[in-house]
Amino acid sequence: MAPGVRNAVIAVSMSVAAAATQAQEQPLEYQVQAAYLYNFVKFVDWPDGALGGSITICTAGNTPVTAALEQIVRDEVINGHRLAVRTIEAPQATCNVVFVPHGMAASEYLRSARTAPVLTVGESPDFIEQGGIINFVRDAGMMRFEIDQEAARRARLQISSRLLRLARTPARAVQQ
Amino acid sequence: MRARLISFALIVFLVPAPRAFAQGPQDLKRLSIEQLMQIDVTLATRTPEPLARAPTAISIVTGDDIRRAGVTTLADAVALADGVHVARFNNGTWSVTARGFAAVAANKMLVMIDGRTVYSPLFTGVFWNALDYELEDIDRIEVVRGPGATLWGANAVNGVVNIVTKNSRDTSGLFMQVGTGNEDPGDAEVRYGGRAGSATYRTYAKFIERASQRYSTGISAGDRRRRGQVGARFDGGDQSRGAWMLKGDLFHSADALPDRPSGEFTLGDLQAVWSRALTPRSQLQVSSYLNHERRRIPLQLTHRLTTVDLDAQQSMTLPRHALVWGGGARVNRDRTEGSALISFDPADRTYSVNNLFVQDEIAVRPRSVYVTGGIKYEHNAFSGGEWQPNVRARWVSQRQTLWGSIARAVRRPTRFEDDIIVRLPTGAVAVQGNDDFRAENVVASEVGYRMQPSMFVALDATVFNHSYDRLRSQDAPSGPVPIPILVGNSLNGRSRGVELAANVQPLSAWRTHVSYTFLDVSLTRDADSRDIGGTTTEANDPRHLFAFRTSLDVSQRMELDFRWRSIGALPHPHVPGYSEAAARIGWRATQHVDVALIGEDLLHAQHPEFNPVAAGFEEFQRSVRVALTARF
Repeated sequence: MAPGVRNAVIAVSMSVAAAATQAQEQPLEYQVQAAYLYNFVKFVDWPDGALGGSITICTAGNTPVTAALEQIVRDEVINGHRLAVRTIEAPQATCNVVFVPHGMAASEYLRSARTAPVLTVGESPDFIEQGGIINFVRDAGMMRFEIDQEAARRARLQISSRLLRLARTPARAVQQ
Repeated sequence: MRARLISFALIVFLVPAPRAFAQGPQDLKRLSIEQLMQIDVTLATRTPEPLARAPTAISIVTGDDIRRAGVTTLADAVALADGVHVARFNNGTWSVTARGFAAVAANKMLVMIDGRTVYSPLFTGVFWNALDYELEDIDRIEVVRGPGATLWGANAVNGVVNIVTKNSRDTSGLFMQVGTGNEDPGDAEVRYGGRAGSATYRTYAKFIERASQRYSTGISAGDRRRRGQVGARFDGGDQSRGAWMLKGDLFHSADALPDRPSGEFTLGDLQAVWSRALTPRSQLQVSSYLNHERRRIPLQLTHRLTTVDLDAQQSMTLPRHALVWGGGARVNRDRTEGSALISFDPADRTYSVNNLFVQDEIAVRPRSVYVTGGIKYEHNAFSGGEWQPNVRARWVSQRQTLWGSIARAVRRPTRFEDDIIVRLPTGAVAVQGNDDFRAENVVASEVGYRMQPSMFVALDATVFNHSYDRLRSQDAPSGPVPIPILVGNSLNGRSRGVELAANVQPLSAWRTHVSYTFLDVSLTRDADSRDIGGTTTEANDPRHLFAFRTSLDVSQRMELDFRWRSIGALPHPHVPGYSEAAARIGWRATQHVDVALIGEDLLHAQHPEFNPVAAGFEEFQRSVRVALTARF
């Protein structure tokens, strides 16, 4: 086996083993995604009345991002809203942010969130095309993201220029 | 060229922005989005190999650091790096040095933009005023102190400044900025980026006017500058099929002079880089650039230069080995039109610099002890071939890195040493170049230690000793007549010191960086030296450098930044030490518009940086500037 592959296998099996014994051992990739999700919430304004007392970040299906996110948002309050994390198996009206990890069908979640003030975040090549707002893209080992401003407008979400400046413009939006 | 490789290497085994180790979700939470964007998530180890593990004295200034500093010139941005002494001589000339040898024509640093060497082969110094990129387009500035001679290009004697601009993928949309202030009465920048098929592009234009500085007597120095630069960059492809970059810039400045008609500087460059993964563990990169410049100082010198450069390198990861090898060829062709005062003999000259290098990092004990050996052979048209070897070792653990290095590097001779003729008003030759001038030589030893005592504090310390011989001297002739003075190699020197830096980031919204450098530079003469410069001509360095900066996000809309610098006195000629402060308030007025108010050099009405306090020497003023930025 090539050393790179071997190392990766060792790393993955180690992290799986670690996850079994200790909840906080997620691979870096998921931790970074969780840190991003937490940051995204800070840079998005929801329309009046869209938020109750808390901001609920939902993760679709079973993903290690959830555990990392739970550690990050514990006792966190942003603009007077407590943060909460939920794992969902189907679209839920209580979600303010929905993260659809790789391998989960995004269309169902995007359809239900359409025009609702929900920040949709994904990590598949066609996530933006399907109507998603923020999509993670990997570039030379770094986790970057693209934002479709038109989709954000439809959802009546105000995204801070600071976040927009750091985002890539998705291919589709530029070509228009 | 090697810039890209180094950048690649930095990304692979150093993570630029997060100076703190990330230990888990709770720590990642402390990082800003800009910092999250810099983490390599593919690394198999739990902790990304960060900057903290590099076996070299390195400091990185990110694009965000530059934006938060509010500076308007590239030299001022480089000044944000640790251990770098930046001093202004006049409105368009900076001395930018690490580890000593500050001079009006400081000549011991290798400066590159995206791998294109930008020091002038005329004197191996940099015309900082002619590097007028939009600072918004700069991804980061990597500053390596000490010789990086094996891997980097020619002239990395005291340090390397590697300026990396953003990939055009990351600069889509419209960006506009206008600013005004007492030092820069008007500046305007515009950039537009987008996608063309599978490639991305950006194109930009920048104009800036800099007002005249003042003499110590308070009178205007009459050196107003008007500069403009336009350019474009294209990126496409990917590593598996071949990634490419194409880039070009055109710069022009009109430089007012107090005692004669304006001078001017025109520069154009074109650069192409292509890289491809040959196998999953091997990468090939080929890069080439063409540069043409014309610099005219009326009644003194007109200089035209054309440079063509081609480089190739391959990097390979083998079991326990990380191997890099490659080579490069560069041809300079210059034409000079001298004056009664200064000329070159011959007036026109074509000369080359070629090199071959190999470097291997061996994991003696994987994830713990690494030893790197490298050697470069460089041939130049003036003094022939030079071998430049380097040995480095590092020991890394979870929170600490200890490293050491011994390296030899040379500063190759230039037209300035070989071919220069300076005449007195009578026509007699006062200074004469020397065809036998040899490369200046340094042997540098360094030991560095970095640690992270807690989650949000990172510390960095380096001790160094550079021994120089064959340094440039001004040797008197042997007869009774005191001229012509011949350029010689009869000085030796030593530069030693300690460099300390600390980064503290208790919250993602608040970070503070502090650095201190102690520097001791001394020059001596060979026993038979006829040098008349009294060992004071080549270096004028402070013994102490201190810098502090802190950045706070007060709210989603408000940013506050504060910087302080203290520079020790320069010995000869004597320039008083000084402290200066700068502050910035940034406010996001709307979704698309930012406003910033920036104050520089706030503590004194004017202060000297590299000139003695005497009539006829320039000082630099307190300045206030407001800038309006729009992004769509």
